[in-house]
Amino acid sequence: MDKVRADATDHGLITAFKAGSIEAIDKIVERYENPIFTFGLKMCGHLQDAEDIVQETFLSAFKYLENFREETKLRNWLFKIAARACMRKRRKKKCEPDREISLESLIHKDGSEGKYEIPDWSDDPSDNILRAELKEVIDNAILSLPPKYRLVFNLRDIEGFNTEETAELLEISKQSVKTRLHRARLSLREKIVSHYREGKIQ
Amino acid sequence: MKNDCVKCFQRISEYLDGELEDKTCHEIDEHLRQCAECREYVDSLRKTIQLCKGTAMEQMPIDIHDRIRSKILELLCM
Repeated sequence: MDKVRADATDHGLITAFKAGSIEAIDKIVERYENPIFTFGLKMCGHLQDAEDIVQETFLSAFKYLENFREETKLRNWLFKIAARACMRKRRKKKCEPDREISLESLIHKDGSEGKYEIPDWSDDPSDNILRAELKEVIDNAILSLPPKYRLVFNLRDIEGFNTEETAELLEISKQSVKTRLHRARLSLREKIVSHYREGKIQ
Repeated sequence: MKNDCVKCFQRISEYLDGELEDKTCHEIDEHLRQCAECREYVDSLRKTIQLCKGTAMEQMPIDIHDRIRSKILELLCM
C-alpha cells in the first residue's frame, strides 16, 4: 500500500470489509453516497438517473472491493466507477451528442459586453428564493454543457479532484483535462452572464 | 482583441489554478495590471467558478439510501 496517498479511515473500512464487517459497508456508503449522488445528479439532471448511478457504483465497488489493493484512493476508485456509469447511461440514451466547444465562440470582444453581471452567492444569504433561483440557473448551465466537458468540470470544480487525478480517472491526458475544463468554465460564464442579461440559459 | 489579451484569455484557467510556470504567470499578472477589460473578465470567471462550487453538495433522499443499502446487502449475501 502507498502510505503517502492512503486515507486512514478508508483503509480501516476496507480492512474491516474484507474481514466481513456489515458495519463497514454502511460506513463506506454513508461516507460516499452524497458526493456520488451529487455527481450523478449534476451529470444526468434526474433523480432516478442519479439513484441508478449511486446504485451501480456501490454494487460494482462492493463486488470487487475484496480484491481492491489500495493502489489508488477509495474515493478516486469510486468516482472512476461512477464516471463510467454516467457514460454508459448517456450511451444508452443516445440523445445527447458530445459536441465540441470552440474557444473562438467564447472569445470576448472589446467593449461589446459592458459590465459582467454575475450575482454574488453571498449577496443576501437570508434570501432563500434568490439562492434557489441562482442554484437552478447554475445547475441548468452545468447540465447544458456537452457531456465530456460536464464530466471534467464536475470532477475538477465540483468534486475537487486535481488535474492529474481527473486525467487518471477518465484515462485521458492532463492537457485534455485542462482544455476541457477551461472551455467548460468559459462556457458557464457566458451562460450565467447571458441568463442575467437576457433571462435565459442559451 | 490584442495578442496579449488572447494569450491571457487562453490561459486564464491555468492561471487561476496556479498551474502556469512562473514566467507565463508573471506575464499575465503584468497584462492584467494594464488591461481593465481582461481584469474584469478574469474576475467574472473567478466568480463563476466560486458560484458553481457554492451549489455543490446535494443531500441524497433517505428512501434512495434505504433502497441502495438493501440491494448491496442482497448482492453480498447471495
